[in-house]
Amino acid sequence: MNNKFLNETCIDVFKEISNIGSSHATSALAKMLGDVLKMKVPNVSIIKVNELSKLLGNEEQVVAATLLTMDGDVKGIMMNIFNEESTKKLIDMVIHRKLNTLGDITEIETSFLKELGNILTSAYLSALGTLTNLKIIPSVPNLCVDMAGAILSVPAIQYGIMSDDMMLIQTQFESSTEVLTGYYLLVPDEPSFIKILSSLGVSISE
Amino acid sequence: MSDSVSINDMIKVGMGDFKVGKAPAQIITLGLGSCVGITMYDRVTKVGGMLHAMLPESSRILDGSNKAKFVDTGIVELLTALETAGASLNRLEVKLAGGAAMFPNIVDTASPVLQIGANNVKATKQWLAKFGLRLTSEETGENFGRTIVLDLNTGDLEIRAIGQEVRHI
Repeated sequence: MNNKFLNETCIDVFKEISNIGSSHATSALAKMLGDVLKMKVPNVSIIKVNELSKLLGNEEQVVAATLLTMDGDVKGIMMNIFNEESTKKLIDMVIHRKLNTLGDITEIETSFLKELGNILTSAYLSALGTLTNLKIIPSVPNLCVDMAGAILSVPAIQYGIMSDDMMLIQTQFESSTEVLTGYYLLVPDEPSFIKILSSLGVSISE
Repeated sequence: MSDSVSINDMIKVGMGDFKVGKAPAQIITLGLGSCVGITMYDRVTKVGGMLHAMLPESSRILDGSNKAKFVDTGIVELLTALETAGASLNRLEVKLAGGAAMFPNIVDTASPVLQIGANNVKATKQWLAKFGLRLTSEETGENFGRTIVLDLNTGDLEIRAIGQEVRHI
């Protein structure tokens, strides 16, 4: 871990941000599901860019991802990802449709997933904005259901500009019947990264 | 994927990586998105290689230590390794896949990185031309991920995408 941004202190800061961001997202999701959800403390880890998709199975594993760009004080991109299993469970829980594979999704599931991604990313970003007192203007989220490797190449490239390491935030929700695993990738550009950290009292030594 | 070779026997190329091999091996990269997969093959010695590059140029990047991450330096690395493995650079058949826009609706926003797919394709063609290499075939752009397999017996490049027919270029 030779990247100046991705040290232990920064991980702790983002753990705290993610804890609050994810609990906002969890309550939003619970409302949508009409169920009680328990959230585990998010796991923030630094991984090699090229090892990213292994976490989701392999590069060909189908996942559902929502991407948005951030503007304002914080610029960059944010992504929310669910693996195939969790996505199918969510579709079943909310719109009561059972799919064999995500390859079978139709317009109805697509609009649900778009809405889901919208809610989860907005909840996270509004928590981040409040916590740091920074203005974050998210774009309209975009949904993509495709191979994990292909989707993850987008944040990996964004990170690739800075280093070979990237930060992955893993959140687990438990409903009364199911365990759902989701991931966030928060990819601020370099000046925004510094802004986020310094707004929380962490200084970056060059 | 051909039935005779299991994925475990294939030479796997990860993101920001390149590999060279010889027949009867097959070289595979899984889930190519905005990155580009560049393959080169010498039909006579049946030596070939594949580069999975993420970004167009190494010079604009803070951390340029991994040469295979970039189209420009990656092509140089691949050519050198191919020559060492016995390929003749005059005989190389060059194929290109990937460079998709996975989130096409978000292209016109603040983040230029989201147009990287198209830029990677453009850079690849420019650098190939600089090295006097010509593309034999390509399948680039669009908005879906691709898995590509280079068969070093034949030089065939197989392309797979979710919910689509397999094709060969």
